[in-house]
Amino acid sequence: MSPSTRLLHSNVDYVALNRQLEELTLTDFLRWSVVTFGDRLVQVTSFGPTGIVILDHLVKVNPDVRVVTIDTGFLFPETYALWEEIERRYSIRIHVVRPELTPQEQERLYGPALWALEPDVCCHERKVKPMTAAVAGQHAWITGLRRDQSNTRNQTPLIGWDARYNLFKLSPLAHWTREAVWDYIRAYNLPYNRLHDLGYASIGCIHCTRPSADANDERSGRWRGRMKTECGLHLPVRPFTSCRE
Amino acid sequence: MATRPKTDAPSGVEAIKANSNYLRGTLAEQLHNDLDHFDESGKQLLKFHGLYQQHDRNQRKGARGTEKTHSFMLRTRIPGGLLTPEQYLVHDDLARRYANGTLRVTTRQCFQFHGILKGDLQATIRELNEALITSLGACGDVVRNVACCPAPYQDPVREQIQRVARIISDHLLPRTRAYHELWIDGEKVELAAPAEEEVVEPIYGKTYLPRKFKIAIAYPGDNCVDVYTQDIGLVAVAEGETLLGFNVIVGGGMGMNHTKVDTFPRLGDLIGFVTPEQVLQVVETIVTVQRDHGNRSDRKHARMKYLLHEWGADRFRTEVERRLGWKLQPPAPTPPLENKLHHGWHAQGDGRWFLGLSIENGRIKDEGALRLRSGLRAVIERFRPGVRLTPNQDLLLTDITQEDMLAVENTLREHGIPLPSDLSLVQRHSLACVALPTCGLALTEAERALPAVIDALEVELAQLGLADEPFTVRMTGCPNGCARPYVADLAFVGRSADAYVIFVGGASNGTRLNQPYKDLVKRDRLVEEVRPLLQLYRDRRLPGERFGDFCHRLGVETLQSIIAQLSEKETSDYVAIDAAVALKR
Repeated sequence: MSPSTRLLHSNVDYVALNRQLEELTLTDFLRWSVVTFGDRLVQVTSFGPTGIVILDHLVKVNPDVRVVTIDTGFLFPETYALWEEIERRYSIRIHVVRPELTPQEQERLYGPALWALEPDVCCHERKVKPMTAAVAGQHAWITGLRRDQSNTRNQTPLIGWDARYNLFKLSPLAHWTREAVWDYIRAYNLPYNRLHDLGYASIGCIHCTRPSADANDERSGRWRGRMKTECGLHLPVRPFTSCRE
Repeated sequence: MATRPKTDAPSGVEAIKANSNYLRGTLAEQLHNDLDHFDESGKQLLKFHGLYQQHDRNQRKGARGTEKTHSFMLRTRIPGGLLTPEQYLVHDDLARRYANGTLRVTTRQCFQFHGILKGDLQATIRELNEALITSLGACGDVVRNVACCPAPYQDPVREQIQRVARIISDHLLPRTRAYHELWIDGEKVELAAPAEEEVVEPIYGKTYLPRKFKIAIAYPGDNCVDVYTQDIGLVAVAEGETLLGFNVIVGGGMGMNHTKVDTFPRLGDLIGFVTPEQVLQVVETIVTVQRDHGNRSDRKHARMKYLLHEWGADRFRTEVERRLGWKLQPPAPTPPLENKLHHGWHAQGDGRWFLGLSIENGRIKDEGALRLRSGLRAVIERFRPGVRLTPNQDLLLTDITQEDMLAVENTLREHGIPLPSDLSLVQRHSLACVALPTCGLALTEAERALPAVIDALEVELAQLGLADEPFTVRMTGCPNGCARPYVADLAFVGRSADAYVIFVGGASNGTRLNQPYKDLVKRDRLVEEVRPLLQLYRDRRLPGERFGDFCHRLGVETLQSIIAQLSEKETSDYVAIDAAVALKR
């Protein structure tokens, strides 16, 4: 770790730190993050409701904060519209990273409909690899993961070590519920993706996102009909143990 | 045909599957006991791991009280028949060390080892696994290896259908950890926080499929995989270098039983067109329809073709569409199919060449002057070509540079290996199943007997001036149809004690079934019985007409009566014949 970070992965007592962070309000958590990681802190968002609540707080804590999105080239028009709305409303410029391959190049290399035939490969090309650029040089990234989103996320800590990308991973609203997030969005009239009004609970790429099959399973519309519920950006998290491999 | 009520009790194999804890049973315990074989339920479960327990039937009639000696057939799963040279050499090496020194190319583009002893199974499978080859799901009631036209022309559509074949094959592999636990390492890899309701087999469930399930993909116009004989046949539809999708054919299958009239070979029905984006979902959905509605009480009626026969294609398609939640598009027009062998030298289109070798009955072995196994090993070690197995039990050596072509040929010839141009057309188009001595189902010889039959047929054809007419001859040791006899121009299907049924009239491109012409013909009379048919064909065919088409046009009954009249008069009096033949024009 570079000396600019006050936290050293190998020295962190994740259990104790998480216990302390759980006591903080969202604004305080973000203040702590900005103080701790300085300008090596980035929020990566696909404009889901949780990410927007975080962003709404984060720009007030630090108006110059770096926010990045991954434009897979397969986003919904509604998502692009929301992206513009957010930039206008908060007067920020959202940094964008894109896959190496255009959709046409991908088709030439892998053949047609990679998302349907080998969704893991498609996610890898269009999200997992670009993510390396999104967090390059950063010491911590902020995500909108919540524990109630799925079984693979139900152990998400507020802070953990991201072994794939080698930086701290902050999930400030891991302990919030979906209702709490939506209550907040409605109460403060925050922008949100209009697809949510059409039964989409979680929104990714256009080819692999459907309205939710199960109202209680937020990610049930993602990669519908498959066992897959994660694109691969978020490795399965074991409670705190992944920090000491 | 009488359809069987679904209330029939599940067959014994169903119970074995259900109680196996996802293909484990007591295999682990039995693997390490001191017997040379597994018990009955173990034997059934082994199939899902790619293994058939067998014994040498040459020795079956030994002295009373002597124990049978068991050995195992191991089949590897090679989507589209594609192997690296390294993977080929691993097969070759294992055949020498643990099996009977031979390799058998199958009609699903896999390799079979024969004669592995129980104590060597684990070592064999482990070494295959290290070479990234599995035998999981190569046999048993699951989706088998996915076949695909292997010709290595540099054409994006060919590459894409090969890729789709691998993806479908991998997607429909059993997901149980049993195979790894049992054969590879026994180590259980715990993923983080496994969900409580974790589903072991999301597609198959606890009892897998009612019966084996075969899928194959054909290149436009090239039916080397015999798509109409598969549970699901996919015919690629392309426009230039773009793969538009696939026509979907369902419910084909070869097996039958001579004594049960309600068992029969069946060609598949064309039910629609799917895009590359849809194909995996549609294939999976078709598999689940068979999973839920296929017959699980009578294994002789368990293949999906009987469901299609019972329901009809419309009801079947409707059920598939109901599960999908959307309708299939109507089939796209496709070029006429042809059964291509890919023999001989061909330019790949990238400056390199491939050589298609005819492997007699798919058996790679050294015997006398024909040192096929050594020759192939020598070529592959030295020139490192890609290796592709074909559904005609043949082998392609790919990516050979122009400079190496002569040296490859010379190496093969030094080992006594004929090039396809050295062989008769009839031999190149022939297929036989394994049959005796290892296959437990065989009633008669096939692989060991066909070469002599072909030799005799070659003499007849040469005498009749028909040596340049391509036609397919297939021989099986029982009616189950492993060598796909029921679509051949001419087939000999094992019936009992060295006697066969002669079938004629199939379409060589796999689009029409043949019909039984004569029952209970002894092996040494086969060619004699076929001779008058060939003569009639020579004298009365239409221009360009193939043997199977000719027999089909006349019909089996007409053929039978003509031949009977001919043999009575012992002449070539064609008056009556012409009258009969004229009727059919």
